[in-house]
Amino acid sequence: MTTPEAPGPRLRAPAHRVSPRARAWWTLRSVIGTLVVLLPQVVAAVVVPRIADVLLVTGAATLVVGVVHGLVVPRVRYALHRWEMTDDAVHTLSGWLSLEWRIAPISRVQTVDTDRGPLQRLFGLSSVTVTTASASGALAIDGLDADAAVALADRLTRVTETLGGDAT
Amino acid sequence: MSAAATDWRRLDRRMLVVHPVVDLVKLVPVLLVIAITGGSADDRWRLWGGLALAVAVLVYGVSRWFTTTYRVGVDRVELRTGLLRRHHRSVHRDRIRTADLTANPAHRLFGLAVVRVGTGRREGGDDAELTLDAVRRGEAERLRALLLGGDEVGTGTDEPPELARLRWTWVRFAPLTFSALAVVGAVWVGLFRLAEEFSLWPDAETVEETAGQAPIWLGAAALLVTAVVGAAVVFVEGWWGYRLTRAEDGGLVLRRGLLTRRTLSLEGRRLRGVELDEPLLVRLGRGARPLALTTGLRADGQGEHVGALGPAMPRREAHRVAAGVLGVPDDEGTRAPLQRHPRAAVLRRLIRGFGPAAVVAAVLLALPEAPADGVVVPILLVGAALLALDRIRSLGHALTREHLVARQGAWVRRTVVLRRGGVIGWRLTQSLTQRRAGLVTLHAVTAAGRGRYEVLDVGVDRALELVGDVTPGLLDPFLVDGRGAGRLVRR
Repeated sequence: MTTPEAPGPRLRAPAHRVSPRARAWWTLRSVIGTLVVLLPQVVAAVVVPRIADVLLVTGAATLVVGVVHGLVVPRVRYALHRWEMTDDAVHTLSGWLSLEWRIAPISRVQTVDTDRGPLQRLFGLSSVTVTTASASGALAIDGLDADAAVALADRLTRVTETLGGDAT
Repeated sequence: MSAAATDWRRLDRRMLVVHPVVDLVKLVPVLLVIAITGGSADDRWRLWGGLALAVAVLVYGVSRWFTTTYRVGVDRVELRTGLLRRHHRSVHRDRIRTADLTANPAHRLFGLAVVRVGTGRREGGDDAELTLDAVRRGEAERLRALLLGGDEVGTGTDEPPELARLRWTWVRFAPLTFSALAVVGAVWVGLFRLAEEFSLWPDAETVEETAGQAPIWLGAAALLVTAVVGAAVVFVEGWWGYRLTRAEDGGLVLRRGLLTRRTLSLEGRRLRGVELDEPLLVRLGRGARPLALTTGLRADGQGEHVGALGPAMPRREAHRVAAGVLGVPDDEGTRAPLQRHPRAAVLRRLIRGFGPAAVVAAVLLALPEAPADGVVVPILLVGAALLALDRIRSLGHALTREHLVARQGAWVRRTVVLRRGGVIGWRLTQSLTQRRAGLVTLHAVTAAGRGRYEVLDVGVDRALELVGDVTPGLLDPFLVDGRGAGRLVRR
């Protein structure tokens, strides 16, 4: 399953990383996710001692997977997630195992939302979501510094306002 | 536009009868249950409750006529409804994308039709749709022409160009479609429910006795017959008088229906392409179904195929309809010669199609007490292999003068033809295995249909080439010379 190594055009990664604090946010999210899976097992083991042996094994497995996930995934995400806005388009690159690269031409942008969940607020982070007329065309940049997010949203809104049209 | 057009108008007077009667008919099952179960003296309140309900429904139905008014102004269409809670809805005429007429049997008996005015917008929750239920047929036609074309009806006296017309031989595809199975299911569930309701359910003893006598093929035959007959009935009801014509503004008009007449209009400006669906069974019968990718249509396509341009029809005919709708020669539409995907993509189809089946087969063989291995395993393996081969055969894409064409799938083979101008963004995804194979899945984002259409497992170079051809210049600032094996992004 090899392909000839032809030096063809490739995409370069967009210019900007998200905020470094995003790593902490993703880690916390991962920890919470692990706890949500782990705690019921602990409770069950205490309440029903009969199946404690099995739960010990699954619980240990959950813990190991959770810890590895919490240590690795946020770093990989931070290393991969990039965004950039040019005069013509907004680009984002995200993912950790599989990469996803999204492009929306500025002329097709319909709405620009900033959004701060309780966890993101804790770290002074914010998400920017750019929607187009498509039912599945939204671009989301998570884990931006809150100020940077507002600035980006402002800039996007200003640019799209001057363009007009219904962007379909 | 005459001054009279800006007056508030009421729905047709005949709706004074239609609304209450239709509502009452809907209530019949409830009333029946009440009448059957609520006969005894201590249950009297249920009877009275039922009567009160019926009266309330009647009053409400009559009140709807008095409380509903509409107005077609110079720049907006307005509708006022509601007895206790007044509701005022207005739609800007510039925004109107669809004006569809439907008439169920009750409406048709009185020569009425429902006008549904849509803006086709999905974003932001202002999915403004305005329904006039109902006005006289002539008035409905006039409104439709007025709202869509800005002309009064009948400006063009010559017959509009026809793209497709029903042929009764198409009924042969009806039992092959999924909706046929749904009909059978619904009919049988309905029968069982009814049997249960009236305690006709035979006790276990009787079942055992008769089931022992009735051969299994009888049951199968009963299922098959209901499937065929049911599908044919649904087909006739839905597609009676089917005609697809081109409207004066370049859009499409679709008429169909035996009992419930529907007239759907698709504005030309909103058309982004077509899709040709070939579900496995229909494909085996050499059929296909053409669909429109339009921004004004709901994407769910549930029950009624909202985007359907016609019923399942012979493949050749479907290709012709698709090309006609697109306004291109036959070989530039859904029949455009497709480019094959790289070898790695073929291999991926094989592994993904055959791999899981092989694993299941291995497990089945490993289990000593699994029954009927000799039958199940070969069927499983051969089926998976055939499906994988079919996936390979289907996979392909092309870029014609005006469209991006992509095909994939085995259970349902989909050929999507998307106008280049309809692409409003891109998504490129690459999984770990795809990266190693030098492949990428390219999604063309669009405002129409399902929102994005994918070109599965295409080479990285080819994907970037496609993006560059369809949206020139968009990617240029992001292209670098790279040599990482099959990597989409060079870091």
